[in-house]
Amino acid sequence: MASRLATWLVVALVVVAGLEILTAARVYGSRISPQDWEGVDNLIDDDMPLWTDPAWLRPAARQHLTAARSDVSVGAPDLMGWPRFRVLSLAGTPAWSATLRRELGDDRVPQVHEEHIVGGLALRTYDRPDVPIRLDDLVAHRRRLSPEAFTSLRQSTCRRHGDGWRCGRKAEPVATVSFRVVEVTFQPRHCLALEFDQPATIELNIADMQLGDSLRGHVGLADFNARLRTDAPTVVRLSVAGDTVMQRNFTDDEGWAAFVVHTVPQVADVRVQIERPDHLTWHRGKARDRPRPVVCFELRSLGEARP
Amino acid sequence: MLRAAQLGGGAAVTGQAKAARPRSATRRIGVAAALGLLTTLLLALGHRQVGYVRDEGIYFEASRHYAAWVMDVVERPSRLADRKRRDRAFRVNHEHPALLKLAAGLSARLFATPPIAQALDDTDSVHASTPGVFPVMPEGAAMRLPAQLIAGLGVALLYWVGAARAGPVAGLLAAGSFIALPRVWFHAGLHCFDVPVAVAGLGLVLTYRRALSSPRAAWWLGPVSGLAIATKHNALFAVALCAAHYYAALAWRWWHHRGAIDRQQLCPLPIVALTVVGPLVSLALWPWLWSAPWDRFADYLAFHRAHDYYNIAYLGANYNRPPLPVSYPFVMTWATVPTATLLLATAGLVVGILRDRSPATTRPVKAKWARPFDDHAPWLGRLTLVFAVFPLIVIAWPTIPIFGGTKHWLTAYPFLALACAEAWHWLRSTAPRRIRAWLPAVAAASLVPSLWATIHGHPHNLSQYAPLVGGARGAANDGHCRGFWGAANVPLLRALPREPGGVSLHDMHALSAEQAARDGVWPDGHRARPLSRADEALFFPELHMQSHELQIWQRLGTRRPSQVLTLDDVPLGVRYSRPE
Repeated sequence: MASRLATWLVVALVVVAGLEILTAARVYGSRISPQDWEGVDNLIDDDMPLWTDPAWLRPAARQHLTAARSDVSVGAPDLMGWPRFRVLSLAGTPAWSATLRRELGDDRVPQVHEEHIVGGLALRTYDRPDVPIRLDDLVAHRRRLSPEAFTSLRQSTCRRHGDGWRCGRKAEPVATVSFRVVEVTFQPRHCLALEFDQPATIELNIADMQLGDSLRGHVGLADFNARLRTDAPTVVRLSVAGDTVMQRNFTDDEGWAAFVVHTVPQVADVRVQIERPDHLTWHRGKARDRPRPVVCFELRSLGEARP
Repeated sequence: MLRAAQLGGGAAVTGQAKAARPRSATRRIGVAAALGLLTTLLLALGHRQVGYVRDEGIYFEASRHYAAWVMDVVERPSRLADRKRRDRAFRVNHEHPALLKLAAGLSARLFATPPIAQALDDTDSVHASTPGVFPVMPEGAAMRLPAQLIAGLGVALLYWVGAARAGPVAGLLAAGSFIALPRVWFHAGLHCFDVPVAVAGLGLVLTYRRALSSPRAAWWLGPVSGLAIATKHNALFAVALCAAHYYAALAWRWWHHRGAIDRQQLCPLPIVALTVVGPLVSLALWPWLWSAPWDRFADYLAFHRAHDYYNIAYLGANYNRPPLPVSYPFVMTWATVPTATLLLATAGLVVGILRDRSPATTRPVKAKWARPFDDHAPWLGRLTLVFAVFPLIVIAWPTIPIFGGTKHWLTAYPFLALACAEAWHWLRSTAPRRIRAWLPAVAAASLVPSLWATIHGHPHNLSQYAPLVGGARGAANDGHCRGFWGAANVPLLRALPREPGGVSLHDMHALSAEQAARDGVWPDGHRARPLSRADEALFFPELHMQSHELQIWQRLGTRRPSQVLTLDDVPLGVRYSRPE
């Protein structure tokens, strides 16, 4: 009996060690050369969004590929609204992944329009002819935006400050608002970043927004530490042409939380109110005041392409 | 005549056997020593490419302070009793014992070449520019040397024990199953305490085992356990576990042989050595405690009980407050220790338990205070199992602070290595004859994955993972920790542009950068600066640090890295430069 067990152990060791040695030969070593990056760069000559998956490949992608550094590639809110986009991944990996499915927002796997394998890299172009496209967004209105801030005591105007706005008086700041890339759920997102100095509501009036079938947006809390603490929720209210179409609480554990509101194709004024009702955070069983939560907000209208 | 011949022949054989035993023991010690020295040499040379990691910077600074105090006392012995001077020196990093730091500081005083550059004032005795007595290596390398010597000692011990058990192949298997692991190799070369306390724990347990039936070993147990406690607080668990083992074995024996417990066994020399002599020795080796032993020891325990939580990426989620998933240390052990080694170790642990001699099976002999268990120690298999598994259980415990990564249960690995030797011993005696000839090849094959991973991963073995996980690439896909500690910094520092400027260090500690400057790794003219005043920025990718990279983009005005340091295409360190 013992002799048989010993034999089985030896067999198991040979199999496992053999498997590990063969696997080591496969996994230990670089698979991507500088020429591979050059080859991929030569294939990209437009400003289509370039999504890199897995995420750990992104620093090298940004080093070698201009397309990987663009606003739309680095901080895209998701992959909705683009009838065609590119995905850079490792050669030999599946064409679609759970990460991409989350960014796409639904389970339909888009068609591969084009595929190039360049050494250790795979560049695929995906078609989504049936999805609504982006008609308008908050970023397109940045020049005409004029945020207002409301606290329990008063209403404040927000003054232009660089690329953004400062709300409230110098002695009693309310918030800083700017378009920039912030980290939400460990991903960079290009959004309107609202940095609250005290509990307040920031109101944005977007005049003459081109609406389609839906308004799609995201709300997230920047910085993982802010999310790990139990913070007060963020309240978002949306109005279209004076009618409230959405009021929703977003908690800090929802990550990059998406919302969709169905609309009628038209040109209308859209009002957004983003409220942080209080400044408390709960950490290790105690509530305490915490400085400057940063809410990341983005909004797009989606619909059929105009002829 | 035949009988006489037989007797004579027998006597001659016995005499030859007796002569052979000392020769084989001498050979075993010789091979063990050679392996130990080779390990130390390879670590000393190889770790010149390993950057100074976060905690090392603090330990370097502490080492300089402690060594300056020693020199002070040597010059004027009356200063030994100068409490203020002593506390001033040992206040630096008093949350860890002083032994390794003292050794490192004195090693630098012996072997370090003068610092090449430094940002701090070099006129004080702590940061003096005078070379060591035999200046042969940079200061950082000299300070890493004691830990590297201890790693070599660990290899020697494992070989010696394994070879004594089942021959040289078992010895090599035991030694290789420990030191060839990528994470062990990485930590073994640093001026840190994790491998030293693993080796010290091994030494403590081996001495304890022997001490149960050997008065000489029992007398040594006190100093050995004191040295272990003076290395790192993990050894306190080892002392408690040894004591628990002893009393459990004694209770079992009492249960089976009613009345067969002698009073001298209730608090024998080994227990006194562990619980009294050991702590006294460790106290003597930690001058910070001398001024207020109880209060400061209580502070020391409180610090570790209420340790800050670190960020750990595990299976794509970031954890920075307990509980970590219970699976964490077990999965991460599998992810960083090749499965062949784990399989062999598991078999060895099972065999060890099955072969355990019950404390009840020995004839009840009058125990002696210095020799409580007759001529053999009971339950050695169980003892090895406990020490192989307990460190993982501690980390898995839901209320434990998140101390960090795999280094926190390295103390288990020497016992897994011993178990590998035990498995070999069993195979050699039990496997069918036709298979036995192949066993050395099987042993070698079981070490190849570790050796391959470690050689390929060097100097970035903190980011290396086992083959079946997919190496660094597989671990990155699975969402595990990338590197921690800003370790992958040497190639980034060496590539800094010639024009002097400010460098943002990210997760690299300023004291580590200071040591890099003293040793000439840090390029001349560059200064560590906050990001707002930096022209170059280092970034060490981890899940929870993504926001830092975005801050770099914003401050430097570029999203394009100028350098990406990789292991198998996985970024370990990124450098950004402000565009012209």
